[in-house]
Amino acid sequence: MAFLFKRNPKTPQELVRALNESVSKLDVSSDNSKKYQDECTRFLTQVKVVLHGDDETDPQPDQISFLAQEIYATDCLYYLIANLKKLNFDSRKDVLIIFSTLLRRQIGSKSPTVDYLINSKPEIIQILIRGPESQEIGLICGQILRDCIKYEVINRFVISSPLFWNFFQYVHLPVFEIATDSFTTLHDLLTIHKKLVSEFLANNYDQFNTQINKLIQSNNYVTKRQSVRLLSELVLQRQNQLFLNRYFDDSNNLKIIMILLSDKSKNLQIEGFHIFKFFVAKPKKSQRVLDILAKNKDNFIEFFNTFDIQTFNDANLVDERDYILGEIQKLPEIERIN
Amino acid sequence: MIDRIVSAEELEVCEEVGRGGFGVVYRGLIKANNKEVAIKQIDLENDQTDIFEINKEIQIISECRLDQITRYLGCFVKHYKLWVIMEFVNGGSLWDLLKPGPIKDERTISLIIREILLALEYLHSQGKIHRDLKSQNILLSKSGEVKLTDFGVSTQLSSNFSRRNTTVGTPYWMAPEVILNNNGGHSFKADIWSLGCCAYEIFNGKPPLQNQYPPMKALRQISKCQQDQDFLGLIGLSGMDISYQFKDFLAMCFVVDTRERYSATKLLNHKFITKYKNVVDKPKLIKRLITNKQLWDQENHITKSHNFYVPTEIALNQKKWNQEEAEVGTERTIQFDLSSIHYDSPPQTTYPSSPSSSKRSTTRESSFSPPASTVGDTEKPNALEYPNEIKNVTNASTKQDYVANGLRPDFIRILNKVFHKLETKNTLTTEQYDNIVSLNRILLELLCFAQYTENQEQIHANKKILVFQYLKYFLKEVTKSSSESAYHATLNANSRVMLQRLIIPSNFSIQNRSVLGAAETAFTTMDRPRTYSEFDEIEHSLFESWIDKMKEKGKSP
Repeated sequence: MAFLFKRNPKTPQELVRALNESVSKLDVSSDNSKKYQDECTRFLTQVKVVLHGDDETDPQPDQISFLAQEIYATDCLYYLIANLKKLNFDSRKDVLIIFSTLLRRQIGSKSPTVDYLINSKPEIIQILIRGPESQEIGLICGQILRDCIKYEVINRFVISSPLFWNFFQYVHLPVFEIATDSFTTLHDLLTIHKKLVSEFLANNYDQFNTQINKLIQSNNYVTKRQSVRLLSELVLQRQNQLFLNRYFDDSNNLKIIMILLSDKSKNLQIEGFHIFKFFVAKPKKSQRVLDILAKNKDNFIEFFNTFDIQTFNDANLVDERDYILGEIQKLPEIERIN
Repeated sequence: MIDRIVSAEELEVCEEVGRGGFGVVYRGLIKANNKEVAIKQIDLENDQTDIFEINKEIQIISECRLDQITRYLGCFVKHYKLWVIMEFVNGGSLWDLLKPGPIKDERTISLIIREILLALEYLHSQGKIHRDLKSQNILLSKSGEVKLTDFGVSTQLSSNFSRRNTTVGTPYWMAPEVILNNNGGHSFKADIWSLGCCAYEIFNGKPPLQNQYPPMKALRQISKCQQDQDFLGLIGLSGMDISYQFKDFLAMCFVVDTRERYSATKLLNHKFITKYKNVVDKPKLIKRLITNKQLWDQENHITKSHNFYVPTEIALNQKKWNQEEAEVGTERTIQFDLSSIHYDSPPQTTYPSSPSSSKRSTTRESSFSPPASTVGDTEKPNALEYPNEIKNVTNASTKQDYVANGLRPDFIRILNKVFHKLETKNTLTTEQYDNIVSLNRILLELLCFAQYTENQEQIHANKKILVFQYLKYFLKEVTKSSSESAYHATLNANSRVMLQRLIIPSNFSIQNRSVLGAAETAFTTMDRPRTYSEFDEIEHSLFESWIDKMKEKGKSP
């Protein structure tokens, strides 16, 4: 069985056209939807075989190239993504595989699929961003989108879009896996392309700061922990200097982190500490941050003396704690400030 | 179809069915329709859990909808715990069901393997690799279903071309390419190898090589196999009392070259599978296994058994293994990212022993356990077994021995550990070996209360366990400052110091050990904390240098 499509479509072009037709019919009638779903499933499997081969046959480059061209020319990807919800459960995963394979296809130094997405059909990316809004396809969209943003142009497109800020809502969704998946996407968007992100954070400091602080103050333990972790990662990036300067001068941020330090959860305390240390260690502190630190000097000393970090078995952590404690002890007494 | 469960209010939590480092698995009921579910509660505050890893697992299971895979029903966060709701499979794991004895009926084997092949075919077609296929992860239901579970270390390949480079799995079930980790990593075919191991395990009760080698050695043996015959010879396939088709099936799974190894789809068309495909009383065969196990449990008075899988914990096991690796003292190290054998937490039997000790003892199983020992009573056949008569001795004693018996498992564990350390670090002659075995046995026999003849009251007031008293006196004598005796003979004192050096662990300082008179010891003992630690030597020397540094700092402020 060299090619599964001995019946029906014979060439890759015909296959794509047949697939498009079945997908378009998913829209129209609901009576026959099962029949068209099955048809889509069959064609998608065949597309997959063209792209990946099967047990007996290896994929043929020329066939792949015909297939890809036809897919771009007919906006097949767009229709697949737009109708993702109407496909049956297992076919959706085939769409993911097909999408990802095409995405990785390179001709010379060019990625035709990336060009196609940015220049011809950016709508596809917009649908993907809004994927988490649907329980059925949220995870699939998330995976495709994360594959896409490995390419800097697409990452740039996503964070420049006003839709980007939706992710700060999606991470609150009640369906756990959609929420954490959205968080993974948000995390990737802000950590993969460092230079791009540093630019973005510098230009959007206020909005980003408000949003991330909201997440840190969430009632949901997982959201809280993931967002502090994300912030820690951003803070460790030297490229994010501009953002950092503003962040660590803001006394409101310090307050939020201090609340974390007093959380019941050990892990949150530690995550909080990893951000707090920068407030203390920063050479030039803003007056307001300095005021808060000095005002709480005794509290901090007491806190750090009882701060239980033994369980984490981390020698660095002990050193850091001792250093921070030393720095706090050096802080001016409150009387001298007033 | 069952709807998603999104909050704890929808559920009633019943008894515990499994436990591991990650948290606990409970049986639960959906209040609305009284359907059974498995509730896996993962403690997110536990530092071994990584939220992103868990998320990956949930993603994979939530994308699987197949009768042969435990169905994912939802998940949510409650306080610091993540509740993952899964379909409950009521018959227990294949591993559990093998406890009464291996399954020799090839029809049954073929049927179970077929179901697992269907699950693998489904997973592989989606670019998923299970990576930890073993009998513990195969669940059976009373209605005859077979389901694959535990996707804790599974992975999603982004395409059929891509491969994985991380070494995960459980030793005896691992394919050579996974262990070697060369040729650009492994792919789906690794699961097929593991499937072969499962089939072998069903027939023999143990996966290949488990009877011959401890996990690390087994890994090395598997990785050495270059020709198909190497492994087949190692496991003695030709000598197995099985049909030609079964043999051929196993041989197809154990093909070293991954390109030649059959895919799940191809194996589904293998004669060994197709032959029994249409057996009508399939559920009955599975059901029989479950009934067998229940009867066996009754006979052996096991009231509690795990009927859900215990997820593999990579982090913990990696530690455990590397430890073992160090103890075995091997020539070469493999970069470990392994999950491992997971022994269920010790069931309530007479001699529960820790996973690590039971694992270690596998090596000597044959030589160490006395022939007619209490096999029926020992939940773990591979645990070090002590002969019947000892048990009788203690059982014969009165109820005060109850306390002593409570100490028994731990004491056995310690003895096992000491024995194995001794054995791995030295080459023992047969005589020495036997002597140590009998020493351990004697020590164990002495684990009973001292009898006071003179005063009945004292028995209650002052219960002393013979062996511990013996050890205590011994230590006391050894650690005793020999200064008194030094007056009598200096030679005597010196030999006492020698003894102390030889017997007392170096990281174990004795208070008042001022015998050496010189500042040497005074310095070490006075301000060093008593560390009965599990420090290994490196840690210990680090600790030592740290103390020295601290002292220097103290001297020159």
